[in-house]
Formats: sequence, structure tokens, C-alpha cells
Amino acid sequence: MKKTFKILFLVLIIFSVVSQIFNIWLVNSVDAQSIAASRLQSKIERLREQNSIIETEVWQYASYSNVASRAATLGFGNKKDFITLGAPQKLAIR
Amino acid sequence: MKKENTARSLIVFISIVGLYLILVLNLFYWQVMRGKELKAMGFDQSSSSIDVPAKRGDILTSDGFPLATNTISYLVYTNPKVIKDKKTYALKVSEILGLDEASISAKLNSNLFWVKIGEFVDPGQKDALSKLNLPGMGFEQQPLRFYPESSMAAQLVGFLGKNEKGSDHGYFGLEGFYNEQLKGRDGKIIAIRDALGTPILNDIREEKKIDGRTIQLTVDRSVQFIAERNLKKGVEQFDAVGASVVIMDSKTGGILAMATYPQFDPQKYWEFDQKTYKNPVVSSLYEPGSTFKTLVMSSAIDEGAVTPSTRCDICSGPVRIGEYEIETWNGKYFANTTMAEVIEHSDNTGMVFVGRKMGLDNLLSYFKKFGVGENTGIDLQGEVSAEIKDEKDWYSIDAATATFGQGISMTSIELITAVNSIANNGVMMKPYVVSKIVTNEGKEIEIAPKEIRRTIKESTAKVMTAIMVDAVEKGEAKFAKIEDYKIAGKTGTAQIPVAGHYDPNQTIASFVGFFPAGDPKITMLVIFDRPQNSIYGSETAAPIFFSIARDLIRYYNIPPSN
Repeated sequence: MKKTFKILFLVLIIFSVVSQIFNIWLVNSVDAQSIAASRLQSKIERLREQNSIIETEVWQYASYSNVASRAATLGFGNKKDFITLGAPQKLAIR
Repeated sequence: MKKENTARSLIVFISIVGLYLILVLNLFYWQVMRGKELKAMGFDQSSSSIDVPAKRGDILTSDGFPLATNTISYLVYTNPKVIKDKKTYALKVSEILGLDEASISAKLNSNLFWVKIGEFVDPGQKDALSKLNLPGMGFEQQPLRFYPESSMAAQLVGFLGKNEKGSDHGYFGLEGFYNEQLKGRDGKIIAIRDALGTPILNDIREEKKIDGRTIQLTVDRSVQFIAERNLKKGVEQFDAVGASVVIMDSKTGGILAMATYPQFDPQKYWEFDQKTYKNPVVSSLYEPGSTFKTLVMSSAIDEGAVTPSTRCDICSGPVRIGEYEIETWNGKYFANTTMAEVIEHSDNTGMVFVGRKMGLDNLLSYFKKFGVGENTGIDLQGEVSAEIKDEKDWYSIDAATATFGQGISMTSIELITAVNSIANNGVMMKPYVVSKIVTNEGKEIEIAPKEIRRTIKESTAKVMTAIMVDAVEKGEAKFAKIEDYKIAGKTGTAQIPVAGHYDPNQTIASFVGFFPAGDPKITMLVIFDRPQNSIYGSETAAPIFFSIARDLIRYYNIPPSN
């Protein structure tokens, strides 16, 4: 009886240690907050960050205020003349 | 003995009932009255949560370009305890962040383990700091509202600030009006933990965030740019205190551009005078002056009180009303002038004649039809209107001056909405800025143009358009008109009331009109606040109106009228 009790007690201790180790392994690998998932998550975050920076740069370069100021430095100006075609122009006579 | 037993039983019974009641009341107190609080406390102890902020929706122009969107910035912090050479450290950081070296030094000399060095630092500066490998330095991402076009349409867009709780909140313009739609709802990730604090597998609960909705505007970025460029040119040329332009799609009431000067940068709104945050187009009242004559004349023609050829029999000189004398703006009088000429010459005495022909009750009834004294309902924050007083409170001089736009207060949006009904064959359209709302699931909610009411008959609108075309062709602003294009318009020069009288040298100069007159596409109002080089609308607002019109004709490829 005493021996049986000891074996049972030992089995229970081994089981609890194994299950605890298994739990730790699960938490670190399968869980949504695991180390592997965290690595993936931080990679996603890094890419998202880079994407956001690039997107911001695109908007900045494509903004009219930026295009207008760059155009001015390149020598482009506002068209002063205003031409309208009220009637069809005569074709050149050969 | 029996009596004694009964009393004892009664005491026991009452005691049991009493104790039971105390138990019930106690349970009620803990479970009902403090139930929610205790449940939350228990939940807090057994879980840990991370807030997932919702992404604020974008504000896009009609071509899909963002006037407001989101980007990332960084909070820079450090641990002063691990820094050896604090002076060099402060110098390097201040050079990159453009901050005062002394204030950084003060932070580094504090007896703390964590100090904030800078906020909303851009990625370039963050990279530069990272390369220095400074001890103790760390970065934390901070979401930032970003306005790619800087100050373009600033008063229309508004800005994102903080409310009293320190949370993001939209103020003014679209950021304010559509704050609830744009902000979305923050989410949460909740991990349930056991007594030792270990997360319990598969027991992660998530309150999903709902990203804000994106709003697409009727505003055309190119038209807005054209309007702002011309407006700036006008303000500098005429040395005006301020100015604004509203450009509306004549058929729908959709706002194509709403430009205001002076502007502010919504990215750094705190660096600007708070007065500039307000959108004067919807929030500032002014006396419309002669531009208002178009509404009064339309009303009189619609009512049958006058026709374009009716002749004025009181226009040969100033008109006396009680102790007041009504004069023309330039001292010139035209005896027996026609109604068409009254608009062409912007004749105040002719308008008094029109008012008399109509009668006050009819005049007020048409004011109501044109929406004078009521909000247009435009989807922008801060719209105001001045109430029109009751008929019994009007003196004859009030009725007389109202016919030429004096003593009546309106907002620019009120006036352009009313005048646009002439362009739109007598149907008044509700002005609106947002054409589409896109939910976070990608569902598109289209916002259709909305008719408010009919103001005048279609035939009246046609007659009034012809009169306004004549006013452009032959009126004071004829030097600025565009050859081969029929444009209907009217100038306005309103004196500003100061301390009970009108200051003749301080005016609001304006021009309202629409084109092409045959089938209007664009309705536009240009206003200059206190121009110094010339006080007249014909010499300030009109040339800018036609300058913008020229650009728009080119942009929209509008063919000539003839």
C-alpha cells in the first residue's frame, strides 16, 4: 500500500512537471503571444512602418504645393495668354 | 407558560427573518449595487489587455488624393543615469532634433531613469539618432495625423487636436463635423491569465477595433489650387485683410473649392492665431451689398411686380425716406432707367423702387425662399446665420436699404447657395462637401445632391441670368470680362458697420456669378475683406473672379458661348 502510494505520488509529480514543461513549450511556440509569433509580429510592424514612411513620402512629393514649388525652381511659370477657338480656323490654302 | 413559548418563538422567528433580510440586503449590495465594479476588478486581476487604436479615416479630394491621412512619428526617450558625457550628448541630439540644447541638458541632468527628449520626431531624424548609437536612447512609435497639402483648404479640413481627456479629437471643418465617422472605435486584446500570471492558452479575447471611415469630397484639388493661387495673388495685389472664394457645381450644389486667406497649417495649428481656424465662408456674417440685388430683382420679376423693361420713376435723384436720403454709389442718377439697367448700373435708388413695387411682406417671403436668415445645412462645423426680424419690426428705411444689401447679414455660403438657384433654373440645391463615405469594410455610401426648394420660376431664372450677363458685359467690371464667354455676374461693395455708422473706406468687396450662362456649370463667389488699394468689388473681386474663371474654362475645357 505504501509502495503503491509512493509510485502514484511519483507519477503525479512527473506528470505535473512534464505538463508544466509542455505548457511552457506551447506558450512559447503556439500561443499568439509566443516568441515565434512575436518575431513575426515585429517583422510585420517593421514592414508596416517602412510602408507608412514610403507612403508619406509619395504623398509629399505628389502634393500640388510641392509640385508647384519645384516647377517654379525649374523655370515653369503660369500661362499668361488665353486663347479660345470661337470658330473653326481656316485651313491653309495650298 | 404557553404565552412565554409563543413570545420566544416569535423572537426566534423575527431574528431568523431579520438575519435572512440582512443576508439578502448584503447580497443585493455586493451583487447588484457593486456587481459591475467587482466584476471589472476581478477581470482586471485575471487578465491583461493591450489597447489597439483605431486608424482615423482619411479625407480625400475628388481625385482620391488625401488632404488628411495618417503617418508615423516617434517619441524619443533616454535614461540619463547611463549617460557619461551629457554635454556632448545634448549637443548631438539638439542638432538633429532642432531643439534647444539647454532644455535637453536640463532633462539629462534630472535624477530620473526615463526622460522624454522629443515627440512626433520624423523617420529621418529617428534614423539619424539611431546611427549615433547613443546610450540609453529608445524610440516609441506615435501615430500622427498628416496633411500632405499643408495649408491647402485648411479651414475646410480643420485639424486633429486633443480633447480634455487627452484623446484625439477633430476640430473645425470636416475633422470636426465628421469626427465620429473619422475616428472609428479603438479595440482591445485581452489575455486571460491563471493565478501565477501565466497566459491561459486559447483564451485570448479580442474586442475588434473598427477603423474610421474615409470621406471623399466633392472638392477638386486642381480647382482648389487654382482658387488659392489666385486668391493669394489678389490679397497681395489689393492689400486686403482677408479673402475667400467659394466655387460650387451649379447643378448639384457640390463644393468644388473653398479657399480662405489667411490660412494656417493644420499640422502645426498651435503656431497660428486661433482666429484663422474659423472658416469665414460658413462662420462669418457680412452685409452682402450689391450682390444681394440679384436676389431682390429676381424676387420682383418672379412676383410680377416689375419686368426687365419696367422704368423707374424715382431714379432721377436721391430718394428721401424719413430723415434719410438714399443715394447711388457713384452719385450718378439715371431718370426712367429700366430694371435691367438698374442691375447694370448697380443703382440703389432703382432697388428702392423695386422694393416699393414688391411690398415688405412679399420681400420677406422671398427672403425666406432664398434661405436668407437660415443655415444652409452644409456639412461643415460652425455654420451660422443671422435671424431676419419680424415684419412688424421693420422700418421703411430698413426695407429700403435691404433691397441693395445693406442692413442684412449673411454668410458667403448662404449667398452663393441663393444665387446658385438662379443658375440652376430656380431650384435651390443644398451645398455639400462630402460625396462619399467609405466604411472600414469597403462599403461605399454615396451622398446624392439634394434639392432644398424652388425659389423662383424657371422663366424668371432665365430672365435674371440675361440681366446678370448684361451687368458683366456693360457694367463696372466689363474691363475684366472674358471675350467669347457669357458670364452672369454682379459686383458688390458693402461698407462695414463700425460703432453705429458705416465706414466708407472699409469695405467688403465681392463678385458673385456663374458660367457659362447658357448652361451654367460653375457658380462662384469671391470676397475681399477691407482691400486697401481699391475699395470696389469691380476693381478687386471681379478681376480675380475672371482670372479664376479663365483657369477653370481651360481646366474644364468649356467651349466659347458664341
